[in-house]
Amino acid sequence: MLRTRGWIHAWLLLLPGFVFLIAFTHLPALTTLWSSFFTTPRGRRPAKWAGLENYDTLIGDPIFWKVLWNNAIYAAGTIPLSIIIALVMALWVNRQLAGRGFVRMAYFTPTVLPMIAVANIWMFFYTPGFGLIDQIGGALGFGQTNILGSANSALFGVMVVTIWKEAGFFMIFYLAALQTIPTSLIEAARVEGAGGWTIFRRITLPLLMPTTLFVSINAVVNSFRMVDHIFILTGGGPDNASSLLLFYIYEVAFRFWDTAYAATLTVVLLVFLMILAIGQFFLFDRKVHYR
Amino acid sequence: MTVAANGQAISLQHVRKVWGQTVSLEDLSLEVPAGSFTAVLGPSGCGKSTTLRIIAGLESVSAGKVLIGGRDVTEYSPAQRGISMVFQSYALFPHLTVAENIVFGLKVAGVPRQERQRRLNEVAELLELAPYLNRKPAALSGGQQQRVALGRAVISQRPVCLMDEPLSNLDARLRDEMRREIRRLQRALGFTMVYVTHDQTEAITMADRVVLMNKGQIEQVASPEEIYQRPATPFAARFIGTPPMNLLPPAAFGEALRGVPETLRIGVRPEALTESADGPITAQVKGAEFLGADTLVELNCAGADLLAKLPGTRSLTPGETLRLAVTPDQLHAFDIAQNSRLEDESLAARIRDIQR
Repeated sequence: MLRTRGWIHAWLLLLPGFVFLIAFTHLPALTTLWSSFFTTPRGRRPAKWAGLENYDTLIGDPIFWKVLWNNAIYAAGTIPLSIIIALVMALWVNRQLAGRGFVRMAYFTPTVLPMIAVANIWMFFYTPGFGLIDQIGGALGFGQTNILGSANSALFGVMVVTIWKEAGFFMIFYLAALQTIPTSLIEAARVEGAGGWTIFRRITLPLLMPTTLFVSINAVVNSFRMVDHIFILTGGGPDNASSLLLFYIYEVAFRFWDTAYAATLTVVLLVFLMILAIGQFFLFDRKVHYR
Repeated sequence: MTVAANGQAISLQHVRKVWGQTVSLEDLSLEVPAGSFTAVLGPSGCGKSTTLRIIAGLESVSAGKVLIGGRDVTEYSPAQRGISMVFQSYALFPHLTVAENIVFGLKVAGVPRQERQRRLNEVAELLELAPYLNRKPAALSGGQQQRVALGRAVISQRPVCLMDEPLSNLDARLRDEMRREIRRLQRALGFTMVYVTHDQTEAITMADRVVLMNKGQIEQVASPEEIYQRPATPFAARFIGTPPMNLLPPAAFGEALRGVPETLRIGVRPEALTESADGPITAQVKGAEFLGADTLVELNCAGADLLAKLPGTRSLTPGETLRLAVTPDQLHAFDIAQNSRLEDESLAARIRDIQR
């Protein structure tokens, strides 16, 4: 009797959380999966069962492959760089240095700013002719640039903004982790004759592995999830040169109103994220030492 | 055993250490003979750990010099000084196995794999660590972790070993065992040991020489016997020995010591006091504590607190008057103004006379 009541109590406490989680996460995910097997309803024509037709379209869609490739470049470029920069910044501000609080705050500021605001700041940097980059470049005798307007460089322009935004956020995690490493470990390594680089490679870095795992999973998810700045900076152009998977999903769903195809793309995105997160977890986990 | 290293002497010359406004060490000079076991003893905050870290090179000096084996190492990094160190927290690398922890320094120094393995086997045998070599430190007990830290310190065969309160995280029984083990290791390997502790038992039982520190200065450097039998300062007298030595004002001896300076204190160890009907010290009982073989009596003598350790079980009522005696060679005289021991023959004679 008492046991049953305990169960009821526990479920009641979990209920509010479950309601929201199911209503806004699990149910839409399942609906999306379901919709991907139907045609898009238009006007008086309701959705019809389409089987794997949408997935067929997807395989034959050159823009899908284009944005997927873009996303791969985007992830490969932003993740390692933002993690390395975060680590370097954390090591830097973890030391005794004058104005440490100010430097920490300065590094963290991009994280606090909304992505839309960040994109607007960078718009000012990138603007051809009178943007910051061109003004500095012009003063030094370089010609005018159009980073966001050219198909070759638009994606890289977007990537720089992402790195700038993400590095400060990841730095906070590294900084917290660095502060949990006892100084006596570093001192012991110094007494044993290890130099700065050896200490970093053999002591600090392995002890930061749990953080690296956490940060890299976050970075992977973010590389598929953060598209706010694309709206401001390039709108995915030119010619989809800077479009990412999620941005393409948005366009298909809310500009072309092809909801069934958008659902199909979303399913692919979810599967990708799942495989990456699980793979990363198992790949890294063996190498991670948890205290 | 081939792990043996020959110890080197350490010398601190007029060392001063300042943190901002706080003076941690003031004009500290210390000689540690080669191959000796020297314990640096003192209450917390006396500067003993700072002294050790200055020898290690983990702290820089504000002024003065550090010499190891005759070399001026003041500007050297810890690695260049030829020292090994055991930390209070052991500072084992949690992500490395016991074996990797022990050979860390050898690996950094580029010692070939075969040589590393050979020395690891020797050390593992010496410290009975062989069954645990592939475990991580977290899977070991406190005592085993301590042994790993010792192993890491001795495998490099450096001439000087520094230890910073290495036993303070162990329980009492294990501490006794490790005390003997560390002593044995130091004798067998012959390195110079500087051992920082706040525990007088550790210092007295292990060390050849005790360096007693207080408030950033050295109070006394002596053998454990000498520091107990002839404490050089009132602080040394109170710090060594449990319960601490009584420091009585001259008034405690009544009229006999009239005319001596008010800064004079007569030191009597609680265990040196005996009950005697014609003893020179008259005191009122304040309370008594039964210790098993002895009874610790708290008394009041001419306004000063007095502790006496009397043999056997005594039932004493508060307010009762006791007369206590002490043999003259068990008396110490100090001047609290000069913070020093008095070796005044005439005073000694007067104290002896009271006894008769």
